[in-house]
Amino acid sequence: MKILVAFKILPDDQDIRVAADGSLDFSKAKPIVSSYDANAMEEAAQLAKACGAEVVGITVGSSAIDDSKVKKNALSRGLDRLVMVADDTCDNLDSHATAAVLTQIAEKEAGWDLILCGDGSADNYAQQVDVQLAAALGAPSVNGVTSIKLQDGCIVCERALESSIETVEVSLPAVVSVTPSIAEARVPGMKDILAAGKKPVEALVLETDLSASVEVVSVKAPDQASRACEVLEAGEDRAIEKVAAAIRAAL
Amino acid sequence: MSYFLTEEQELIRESVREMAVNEIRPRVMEIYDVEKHEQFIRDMQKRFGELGVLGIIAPEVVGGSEMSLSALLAVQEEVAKECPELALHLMLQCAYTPALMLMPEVGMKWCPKVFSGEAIFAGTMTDPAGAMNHGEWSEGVVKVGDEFIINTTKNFCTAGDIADVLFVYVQYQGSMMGLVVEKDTPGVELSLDPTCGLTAGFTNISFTDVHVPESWTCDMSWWSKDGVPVMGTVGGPASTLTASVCNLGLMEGLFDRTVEHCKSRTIQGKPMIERSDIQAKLARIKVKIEALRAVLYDAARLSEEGKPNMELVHCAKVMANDLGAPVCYELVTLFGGLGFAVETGVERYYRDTLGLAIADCTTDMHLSSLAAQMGFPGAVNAAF
Ligand SMILES: Cc1cc2nc3c(=O)[nH]c(=O)nc-3n(C[C@H](O)[C@H](O)[C@H](O)COP(=O)(O)OP(=O)(O)OC[C@H]3O[C@@H](n4cnc5c(N)ncnc54)[C@H](O)[C@@H]3O)c2cc1C
Repeated sequence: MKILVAFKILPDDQDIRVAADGSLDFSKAKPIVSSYDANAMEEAAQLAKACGAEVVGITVGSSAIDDSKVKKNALSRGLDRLVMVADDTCDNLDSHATAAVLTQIAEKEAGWDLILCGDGSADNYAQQVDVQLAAALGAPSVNGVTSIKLQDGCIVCERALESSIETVEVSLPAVVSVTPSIAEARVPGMKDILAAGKKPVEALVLETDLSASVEVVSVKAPDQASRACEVLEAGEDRAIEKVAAAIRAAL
Repeated sequence: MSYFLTEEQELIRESVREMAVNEIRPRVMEIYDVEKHEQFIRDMQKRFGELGVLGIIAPEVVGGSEMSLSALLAVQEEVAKECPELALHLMLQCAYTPALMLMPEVGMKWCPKVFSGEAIFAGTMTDPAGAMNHGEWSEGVVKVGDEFIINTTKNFCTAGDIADVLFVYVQYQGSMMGLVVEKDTPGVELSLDPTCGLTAGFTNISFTDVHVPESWTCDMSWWSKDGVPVMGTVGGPASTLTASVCNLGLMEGLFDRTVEHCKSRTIQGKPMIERSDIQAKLARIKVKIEALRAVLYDAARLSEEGKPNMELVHCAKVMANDLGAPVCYELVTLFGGLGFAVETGVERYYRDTLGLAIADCTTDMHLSSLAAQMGFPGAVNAAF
């Protein structure tokens, strides 16, 4: 069995700086694995442990993602190897274009049985790539999955709906996106980290025609609201009503 | 962290950071609680074992990974930011446990257990007559047949109350000797000594007719003979540097919290961080932290390259000891009254730094060793 895990590499949001005009400075933000995708990697690793599958990470992005440290980080999370397209024309791809390049990679990785995706990317969180990838590959797709059981030629997935749990049997090959609760992302240990440096990484040449369906005009942080610093005495008469009135006035 | 860490070392540091924030931070106050500290330390020891950091500088044959001292320092630095005592605990587990290999039978039995996180190690040297005042220690052991019998008292042992295996340093015929005693050995009595910081498990230990087989003892006259410590430290650069890094992480942990506080706390409608006097104060502390970091990791790197420089090693501990209290004073007071409230988890850094300035020897003891290293007349090695 072969499991592909589609994941995104993005700038560490802790180190994104907001300038006075609201523009974002990414220059200090190092590339990291998108947090929700780490849960998908862990689930893949656990499924693989149970059935002896191979787990291959697949990703696409600008040349910045071809960073040896972030590659090792991804490989220390239970992947056996990594296949990527790192090309500056793939910077900031929209969901449609991302799914198109991942389709190219998946087609090269012939014989895959299951593609796992995270719940959404930690930056855009559009939750679109999984379904579009499935459509492009002609595979069934299930999202919001909280547990996966392997069976002969199919998987049984549970999805947490608002007031019930839905159980779905899906034939393989299939594309499944998982919620963070499916498997706690591992904290990579020494062995994982030291082994990661020895795992194979393959860089593919971009062969997909990229036509953006979304044009990014600008990305800006919202204005910081200044504090009103209005302090009301708790002991005053009708203090609660005064607080409520102050909130109403401020809105 | 050092700017010279390799990619692997940096990834290990990041993993430990994640573990420290998610797993140590929410439970950190348990270490000061007599009822809870053992479970907390055992849980963390298990996690450190799973992450593979306990044997980070130990040989592979006993479950270690023979990585570098710098990697260990980076691990401890991250742990100390959240819990300085756990970083000190790591010093013992990572840098002192390998001493068990001086007795192959003991090393093969206990090192893998400690490095996997299953067991806890402690080392007890400090004597009522003074930790390094070896000439005034009483003769703590006698030989009877092929056994040694210990009768002595030891003080201030970190995690002595919960240790599964204990390395005991005693005087035997005028020289230093090491003996290993397992948990629950008859004649070993433990009593906790309440401290003003760091941990609930600060232990005094009395040994009454404790029998130890000869194969569980080792001669340490290479380190201390005729009541005088020979040049160098008992664990080489690793022991002193792993002690020093605890105060580096401690200062950084408190510094980060203080910066966050200054961003959110307002004075006359403006965040504290926008005041130039506070910016200058924080910047000055940053200078001190970076100076300590540079000396510490430089000393580690020289040691890794096979050029250990003991002068620099002692400098690192003196800087760590001397910077901790004044830096914590400045940072804790920036919290105002909140800094003095136990629940905020801020004042503990100030208390803990005092313990770290004494553990693994005081400034005066390291200055004496530094003077000896520099060849000053009459100067003696006085730090372990
Ligand atoms: C938090 C903490 C954890 C500890 N953990 C352990 C542990 O796990 N195992 C263990 O064995 N011990 C441990 N200790 C004990 C510690 O190592 C000793 O307290 C320390 O080395 C000082 O020794 P002492 O207490 O005997 O002080 P003393 O030797 O009595 O020193 C008293 C004073 O004399 C000065 N002094 C002593 N000798 C010299 C000298 N030669 N030159 C100049 N000045 C000198 C000292 O600086 C000090 O100011 C711990 C202590 C603390 C605070």
